[in-house]
Parts: sequence; C-alpha cells; structure tokens
Amino acid sequence: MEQQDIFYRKSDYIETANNNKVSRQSVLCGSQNIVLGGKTIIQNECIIRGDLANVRFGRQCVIGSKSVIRPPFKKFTKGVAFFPFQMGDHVMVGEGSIVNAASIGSYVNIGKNVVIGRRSFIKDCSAIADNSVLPPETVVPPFTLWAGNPAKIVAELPESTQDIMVDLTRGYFHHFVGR
Amino acid sequence: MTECEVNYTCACGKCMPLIHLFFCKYCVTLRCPKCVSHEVDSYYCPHCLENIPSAEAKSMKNKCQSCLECPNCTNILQVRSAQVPMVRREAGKVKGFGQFKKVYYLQCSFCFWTTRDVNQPDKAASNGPWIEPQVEDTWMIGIINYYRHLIQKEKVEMEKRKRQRRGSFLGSLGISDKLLPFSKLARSSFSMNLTGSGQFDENVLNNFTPVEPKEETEPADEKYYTNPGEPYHYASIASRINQPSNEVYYACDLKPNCTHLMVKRSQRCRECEHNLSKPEFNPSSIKFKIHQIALRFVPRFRIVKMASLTSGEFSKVQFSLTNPTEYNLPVELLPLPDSHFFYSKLTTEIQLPSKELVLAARDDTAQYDTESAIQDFDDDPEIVVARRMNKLTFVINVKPLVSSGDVTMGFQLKYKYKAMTPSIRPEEQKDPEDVNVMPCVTVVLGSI
Amino acid sequence: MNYDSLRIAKGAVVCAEADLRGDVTVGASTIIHPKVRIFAYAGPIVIGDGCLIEEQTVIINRGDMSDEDLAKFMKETETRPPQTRGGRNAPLRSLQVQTNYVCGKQQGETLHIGSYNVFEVGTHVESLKIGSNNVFESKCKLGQQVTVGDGCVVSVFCVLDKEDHLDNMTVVYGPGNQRRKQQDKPMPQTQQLEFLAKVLPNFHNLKKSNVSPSPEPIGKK
Repeated sequence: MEQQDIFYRKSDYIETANNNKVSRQSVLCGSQNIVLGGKTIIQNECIIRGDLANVRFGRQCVIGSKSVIRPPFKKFTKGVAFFPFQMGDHVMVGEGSIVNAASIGSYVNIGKNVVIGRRSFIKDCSAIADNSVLPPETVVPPFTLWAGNPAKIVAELPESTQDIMVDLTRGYFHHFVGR
Repeated sequence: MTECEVNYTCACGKCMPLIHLFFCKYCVTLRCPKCVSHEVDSYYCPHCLENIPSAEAKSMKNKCQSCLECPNCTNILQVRSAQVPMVRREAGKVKGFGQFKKVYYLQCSFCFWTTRDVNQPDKAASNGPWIEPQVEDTWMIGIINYYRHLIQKEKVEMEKRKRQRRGSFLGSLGISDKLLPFSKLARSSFSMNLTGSGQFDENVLNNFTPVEPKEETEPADEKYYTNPGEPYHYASIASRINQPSNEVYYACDLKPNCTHLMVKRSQRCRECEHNLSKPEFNPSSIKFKIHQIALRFVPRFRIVKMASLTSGEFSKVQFSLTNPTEYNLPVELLPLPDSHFFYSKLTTEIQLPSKELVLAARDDTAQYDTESAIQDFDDDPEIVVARRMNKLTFVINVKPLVSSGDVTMGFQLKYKYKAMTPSIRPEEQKDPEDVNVMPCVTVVLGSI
Repeated sequence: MNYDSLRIAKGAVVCAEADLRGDVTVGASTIIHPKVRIFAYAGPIVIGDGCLIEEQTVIINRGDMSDEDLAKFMKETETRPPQTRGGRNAPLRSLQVQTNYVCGKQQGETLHIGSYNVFEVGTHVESLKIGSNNVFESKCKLGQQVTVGDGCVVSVFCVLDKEDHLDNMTVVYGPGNQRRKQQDKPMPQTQQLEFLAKVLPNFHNLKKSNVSPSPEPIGKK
C-alpha cells in the first residue's frame, strides 16, 4: 500500500528555506546547535536537545511525534561531555521513541515506542522494530532487523533496503500536506 | 482484516513482494532468495564489525573472541574500570592499603550482570584475557572424529557407486552433496574441506560407542529442597542452553559467551551461474559490487487508494506503476494465465486497461527541480488518474465475486527489457535487444 | 497555578519549561530538565539532593485519583506550550491548559524521593517512598503501592503497579520484570550533574531557587 496523505495545519508548522518542516509544538532546545539537512520533518511534541551537544540531521528524515533525540553522555578519563549526535539521510523515527544513540546512519527505520540506549551506533540500512529496547552501547550492523527487550538481531533485511527507505521517506514528505 | 499485499511470481513459482526479489539479466527473469544459491563471502563480528578470515572463523567455531555476551540476557558486555586499593601483605597477612590501581571487569548494560558476580577476578588490562582457553572434551573429540571418518566412508562408497554407473547423469550428483545448500562449485569444495584427506579407519567406526540412555536420572541435590534461595541464584533454562558445554545449575557458575559471527554473502543465479548480488568486503559498507535487485529492473505495482468493495459490483481501485528504467516504458496488463497456481484463487472480475500504459523514464535529478517537467503522453483520462515523475497512477475496475473472505486479483505485466548482450570485443557490441518480460502479479485487496 | 509552595534549594537547576505544581520541594544540586511534570496533587512531594530528572518524566502524588482521571489529567497537561520567549519555541497560539484537578489542595501523605536518583526520559512515578542512588530507566512505571530501597535499577519499560517493595540493590529488567541483585550500587552521576548545572542555564530560563540548603539533606528520614 502506498503512503496515504497526512494532513497538518499550515499554521502548526514552520517551513524553512530548505524545505524542513518543524512543528511549532516541538521543543528544540539550543536551536543554534541543531542542523537540519533539508526536507526533514519534525512532528509535534518532539524534544531535540541541542543544548547538550550539536545535533545534526541529514536530508529527508522524519522524526515522529513525541520522540526525544538527546546526545548521549560520556565519561572520559579526563572530564565529561555529551557526544555530538549525527543522523544520516532518509531516516524514519517512529512516534514516542527515545534516541540516545551516538550516531545513526542513513536509510534507517526506527519503529514506534523504541528506546535506544546511550552511545549506540546504528549503521546504515538497518531497522529497529516497534517497542524494542536497544541496550546502551549496542552496535547495529547494516542489513539487520532488531527487536525485543533487550533487542537482538531477529532477521536480515533485503538487499533493496536503501531503495525502500529512499522511496518511503520521499513518499512521506510528498504526502505530508499542509492545508 | 487481512493486510493488502502485492506479490510477484518468481521463476520458481514462489510469490513474494518485489522488494525481496532479484532480476537475472542473463536469464531475463525474476529470482527469489529461495531459488538462488547463497555463498559466504566473508565472516564478520556484528559488534566490533571486524572481518575475520574464514580459516580463523572456522578454528574459532564461528565466534568472535573479543566481544562477549552476557550469560544472563545475551546482551553484549561492556568493559568497565574501577579503582581498587593495592593490598600490602606481609607474611600472608594484610598490612594496610597502598596506592590505587586501575582494574577492569565486564558489565552488562542491560541487566547489570558483572564478571564480579561470578567471582571472576578483575583484570589489569582492558582487553582481558576474558575467557580462558577451553580444553576440548575428549568425548566431544571422539564424536567429531567419528563423524569425520563416517563422511570419508560414505564418500568412498559413493565413488564406488559412481564408477558402477559411469555415464549416467545421476551419478554426477552425489547424494550427500545434494543436501548441502550451496552451488555446484561450492558444494564440492565444501565436502572436500570436511573430509580432508581421503583416508578412513574402519576401527574408529566400529569401536565407537554411542551414549546409553539411562533408566533413572541422578537424584537432585539435597540443597534444592532444604535451601531453595532466590530464583535468580539459579541459571535460567535459556542461559543453560546457551552454554551446553558446561552444565550449569547455579547462576554463579555462568561464564560470558562469545558472540556469533555473521556472514556477508553473495547470491548467484542457479541457472546461468551469474552473480545477482555481491556486497562490498567491508562489514559496515552498504554498497554492492553487483546489485541486481528487482526494484531496479521491474516496474513496481502498488495499491494507491482502495475503494469500498461490494460483492457483484464494479468499484474503481487506484493503483500505481513505477518505472525503474531510464527510458519510457510501455507496459501492457494481461489477464493471469490459467496455468498460474493463483488462477483458481482469484475472487474478482477485473477490467484491465485495454491500451498500453506508457511509464515515464526515471530521472534522478527531477526531484531537485521545483517545477516538474510537463509530460506529454496521450493518456486516456478514464484510466490514468495522475502522473508524477516516473510514477503513473491509474484505475482498474474490480468486481468481487464472493460475498465474504479475501478479495484477490491477478494479472500479467508485459513490458520490454532492453537486454545488453555482453561481448568481449567492443566492436561486436550489439544494440540492445528488446526482450519481453512477463512477470505475474498477484494482489490481495483485503477482505470483505 | 500555585507556585507559592514551590521550594527550590540553592544550587538546584529547574528549567522553566518544567511543570511543577503544588507543594513541591526540590533539594540542592538537583537537575530538572524541561518538559518534566511534577504534580503534588494529593499531598506534598519532597525530592532530595543531586537527583537527575530528565524530560517527559512524570512524578505525581496521586492520592485517590482514579485511572481515568489520571489519564485525563495527563492528557490535559501534556500539550502545555513551552514558556520560552523568542526563537523557535514560542507558540503562536497561547494554549492555557484548563484542568479541573488543582494541585496542592489536599493534605495527603507526602511523596518522598531520596538523593542521587536518576529518572531517565519518560519515567512515570507514583511511588510514595523512594530511597537513594536509584536509577529509573526510560519509560518505566512505578505504581503507588511500590516502595523502593537504595541502589536499585528499574530497567526500560518495566511496570511495577502492584503492591511491592524493592530491596536495596535490586535490578528489575526485561519484559517479565525479572529480578536480580547487583553487587555494586549504580555510580552517582555527580559529574553529569555538575556539567548540566553549568550548561543548562545558558540555554533555558530557570525557576528561581528560594531556599538555602538545609543543614540536613532533604528527603532522608
């Protein structure tokens, strides 16, 4: 089934020069540290913690409502810091997910109500199923699907994952219509 | 309510969504992951993402020695450091504490199991060694040895049989080879590896004693009745299954497990033995050297908008076809041939477009244009609903013939694939040849 | 909104975007992130020193509020617009949440939270007695009938809603709320607290502290 139209009130979203759509109901802390790549959608009640460290999103990402993106905390031998957070292109983050990862690659599909532990590395072309818990410092290799509490590899993804994710995020952006 | 799904029929007869399928350029047909041969390209650890040479992987029993799993919840263990005071001893007695020393132990970040829980001593270095080299069980060695000789014996017997039936086609395929899920080429090398030299010892086979089943099991330890303790003092069944080699009853005897390796594999058409998919060597790379996924060769058919279906009435259901190729592609929709297995399962009468539908060429740069180029196609407004880039949305009239149950439809796509005949000499390179491709598409529209 | 009975000790950092209602006491060097909701509905809430309370956490002294009322209350307070002025955060339409549930009117039992506890993103706490040095991971839920000792960890998604007591050093984890005992108590997050106390005031408006630190740490009985 193809992506159906999703309608939003134009007054509820801000559209930036490079076509990012950001909900006015989202909380972007430290917005000067947040970079959106273009055609990225940030839905209502998202919390993005740019105040803790730099947060960078790629192109055509979709951040579902009520999700929290926060750079992870790391203790070093000398001092402490929050890791800057990076996300690649064509990434979907489902509703109500909490992302504490150090980096998320491109073409990644994160389901709804997922908790991603501190300093996880999520590589390109991977997916996390709904309601999963990724423990801290997990490495998610390409072409794997993770699910469960704690999440484990449950399946391999097809070789066409990149094409599917590009199509999915493009379709979502095209069908996310204001009125 | 059943999910809507669109499946393409593979050359082997299996129905699968297009995203899982491959397209063999040389046979000009669809191939599914079930009917191609899978070959291991390389082994890698899913946690440290390091390549492991196949010989090493084999000797390490396909496990990574540096990444360890929690025996309690199978999550990856993390190295933690702690400061402990050095103990000064004199004549075996503790005589106070000296400087602080950095020590390392492993901790599970999910269930907080630590190597300290099982009284494994802390290490002075962050890289361990965390596991002691295991002494192979003599019983296990005996079994492996037995099987090695058994394989050898079967092989010799097979050779004999082959010689007897020389010339017959069947003889060229071994029986045990058939059971191995590899291509012809890999099959022979696999069985060669397993058997090693061509010798076997009849004595080993005769002297082998299988394990005798016991009538009575050993009585349980008295402790279980008198001192039940807390449930978490005992190893769970799952943790015990993960460590079959050391029979563990108590959680304090659990040891970290090594992580299983994963493989990068290439896939090969069984008919023409050409590669359909070959990933790059680097485990964290998502690029492919050969990447013949069906999505890039076959028009993708999808449901756009469902109509409310009523039995015995035609309703207009919107579908789309996406052109993956870089040229305009005329596509014909034909009724499903009655030889197709799905033919008997069809529950609808459909009115397919009588005219050819022309799909616009795919243009990767078009998405960056703010204004899409005006496309001039002679479309029938009755059938074609919309065009956007290389996608065409059109209508098919669907009449369900059943009053309840799944609504299914099927048809055959017909389009021309420009087949390039590969040639070694460029002057002999022929112009692309049009070959008809006719994949069957089966659709479940949900239930009524 | 009743801020009169809100007591914030010196050194605590409470973001203005956090929603604290009723009789709430916050101990020294406690950090409260934006979008946290702490509602002293049926009785006072006392939070000890050095706690780290991350966004979307709900701490509510619920009293006899029914499940339906609680759900309604949560929904009503959820969409309260952020209060920062200027920049992207400012809401166009100023929503003022209408709720029939006025916090701090009743004088019920006090909800005590000890010191150096960590409440990760999205925890829901109704428990009336929580010790010190505990970690409550994302999206876990503690019911009213639960009491928590010291050094415990409640893992992601764990829901404890029956009458229960967590002994010191208990770890609750996994889909079946499995339990084990840990040997070392979770590391105190002092370094993170110090770092946040430095960084957060640069980006957020804060609620003013109005109490100098008490000689005895709050929240310990």
